[in-house]
Amino acid sequence: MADNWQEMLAELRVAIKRENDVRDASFLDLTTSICGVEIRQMTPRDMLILDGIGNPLMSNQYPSPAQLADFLWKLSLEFKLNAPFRRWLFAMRVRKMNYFKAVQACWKYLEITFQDSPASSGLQSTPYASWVAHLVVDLGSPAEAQKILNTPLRQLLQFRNVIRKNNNPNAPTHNPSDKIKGDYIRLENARQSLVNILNRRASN
Amino acid sequence: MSDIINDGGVVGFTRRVTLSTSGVVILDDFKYDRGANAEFERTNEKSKTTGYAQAKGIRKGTATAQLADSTVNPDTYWGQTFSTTEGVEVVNWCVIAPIGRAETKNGETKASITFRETVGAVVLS
Repeated sequence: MADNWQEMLAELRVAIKRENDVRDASFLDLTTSICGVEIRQMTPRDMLILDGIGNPLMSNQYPSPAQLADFLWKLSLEFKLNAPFRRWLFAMRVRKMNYFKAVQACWKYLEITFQDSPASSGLQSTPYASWVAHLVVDLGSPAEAQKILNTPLRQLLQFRNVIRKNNNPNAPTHNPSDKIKGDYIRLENARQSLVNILNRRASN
Repeated sequence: MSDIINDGGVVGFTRRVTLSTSGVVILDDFKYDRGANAEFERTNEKSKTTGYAQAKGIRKGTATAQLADSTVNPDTYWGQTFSTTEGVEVVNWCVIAPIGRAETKNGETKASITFRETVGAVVLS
């Protein structure tokens, strides 16, 4: 944790560069290697399926080996519909992986996927449409819903943030690097509280 | 006219300020403009401008405040003062409405705030 403002700025610069590299990379057709298995970027369609079947990885929980294999299979470059033998062979490969390393790598993959997801304002309303419908409408192209379903989430979430910022230049944006600033604020405020306590004691 | 200040290459227009009662907060996207309170344009009989005068207004700006934690209500910032150094000038500001709703992600909370330059002591009553 940064101890002073200059250290905090130095850490912040590195973190901002890192998160922007992640953003740029999303527009290249790169895959992610999970213990040797190449998987592509997650799309809204993948998320609908994986979330719909309740894969524990989607809620940051440990999956069973079969659920881990299923997650990787659906995102792998080797995926084919109605290919049970191919799928079985793939699952055998996953079973030979270091389970904990693979799960950690999947969580990291998901963290990067949702780096630019929206923040919560604490407001709750009764759902009346799928989150995909909201995403499609936010992106302003309901006619292209099917295309959007197959576009990487990492790209779509950035598009949505740009549209939001264009519509409301004062809208807050959230980045992983915010934690560095948050830690700094909390440290400064704790120091100030301590100084206030010591000053009160000294004056008594 | 638009003034966006970045003093000494700070990252992302990030400022550290100390609010009068809430303590340290970080302001991102710190920007302000100076408006005009009144403008006068003198014209001749052919509507050609022959003179101009303007009364300078005070500076007013916006920023995104990063709060210490999600329990802080950004509404409590209203009326609080802080100061920044703009070039060689120390400017005192007062947080005014509109103040945006707090948004939290990964444990970090932010809200948009509005502020204006103070012209004297700020008294809350």
